[in-house]
Amino acid sequence: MKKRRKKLLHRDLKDNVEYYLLMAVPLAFIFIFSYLPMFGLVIGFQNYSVGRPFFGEGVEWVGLRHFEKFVSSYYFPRILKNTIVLNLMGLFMGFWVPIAFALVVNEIRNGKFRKFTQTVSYMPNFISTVVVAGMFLSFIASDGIITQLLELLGIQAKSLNANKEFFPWFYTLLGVWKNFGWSSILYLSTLSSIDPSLYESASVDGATRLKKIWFITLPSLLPLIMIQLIFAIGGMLSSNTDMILLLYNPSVYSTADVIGTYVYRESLMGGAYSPGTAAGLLMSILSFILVFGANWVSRKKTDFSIW
Amino acid sequence: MKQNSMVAERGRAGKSRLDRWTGFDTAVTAISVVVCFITIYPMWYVISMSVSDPIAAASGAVAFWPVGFSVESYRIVALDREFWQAFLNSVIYVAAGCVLMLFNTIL
Repeated sequence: MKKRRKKLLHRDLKDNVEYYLLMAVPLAFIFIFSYLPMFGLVIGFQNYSVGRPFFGEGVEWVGLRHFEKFVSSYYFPRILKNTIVLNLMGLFMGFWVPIAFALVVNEIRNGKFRKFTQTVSYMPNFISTVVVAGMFLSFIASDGIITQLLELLGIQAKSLNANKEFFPWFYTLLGVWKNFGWSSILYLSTLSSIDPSLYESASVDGATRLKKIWFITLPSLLPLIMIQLIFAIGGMLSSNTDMILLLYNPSVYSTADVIGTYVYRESLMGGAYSPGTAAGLLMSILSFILVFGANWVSRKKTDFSIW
Repeated sequence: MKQNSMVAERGRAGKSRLDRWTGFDTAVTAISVVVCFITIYPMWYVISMSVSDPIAAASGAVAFWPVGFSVESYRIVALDREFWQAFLNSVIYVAAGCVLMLFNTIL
């Protein structure tokens, strides 16, 4: 039995040697750049400083001390709350926009206008985050266009960049502005694969266009929507750290400081890599649990799951 | 993408009532126009500002079209050696990253 299996494997290898070789390159790439660096996580359990070895002599093992210190730190509740609040806001305001936009674009009749709208919508995605943040900061400066607009509406809008109530909204809306077009591409490509005969038969049955969206288009998008939702929940603890780093300042830390920015500021900038690694590992584990949980719930409730 | 519903609507012989412009189309067009404006305006505004007269730009006189004309800011950037070094770095990163990425995903 065993022998036969071995023989089969051997034949398989021989017959498909080219494919295996092709496959080996990306596998090696992933192994070298994704799996080997994971060994670096050990510095989260050490008192590491640059130049010291990861293993062997001269390593100062401290166990879970960095993890404890991170979780029990004074700022931990605040950064955890900010991370979750900003992500939830991003989810509630950002998740449905690409879907709605894809549906609207899909209904535009004029081909040229449809192409134009689509192209325009994903232009912001190609502007670098630094430029977007810079543009936005100039808009909310004291003579910026958003400041003027808000004051026109009678809203007290002095020093918007130091206003901690507004920061989450700014961050969320800017994220939506930058990403909705790009995210909608995925939905639009799925829309194009819907069988046209479904629409035809719906028309024959006298369905209006809204009804067709509701009964044909949306159900076809549902698996993709669920997968995107699972990913979004998995990313609950990671936020767009570079965007926040560019937008925030000490006067809005109480609503803007998230795990990523805190770790960056407190650990990595000072060269304290061990606490930073510990925080990163902890967040990865929690995110993993979240993705797993979301996937499990989705599989139980809706039959759609990533694995 | 749109073909689907187009085909569906053309399914009936000739110009059916489904081919007519409806309130639905108006709503769709209106939403698209608003979205386009929201997306383009900030970018256009920055471009307008960048080619406006510096004094006009600083005083907030620019709303849509450039006020006055000046490429002084572009001249400053173009003469900045560090800018070109940074630009070169970006190009190198993008080129190398693109080649590696393509190579890996095709495989």
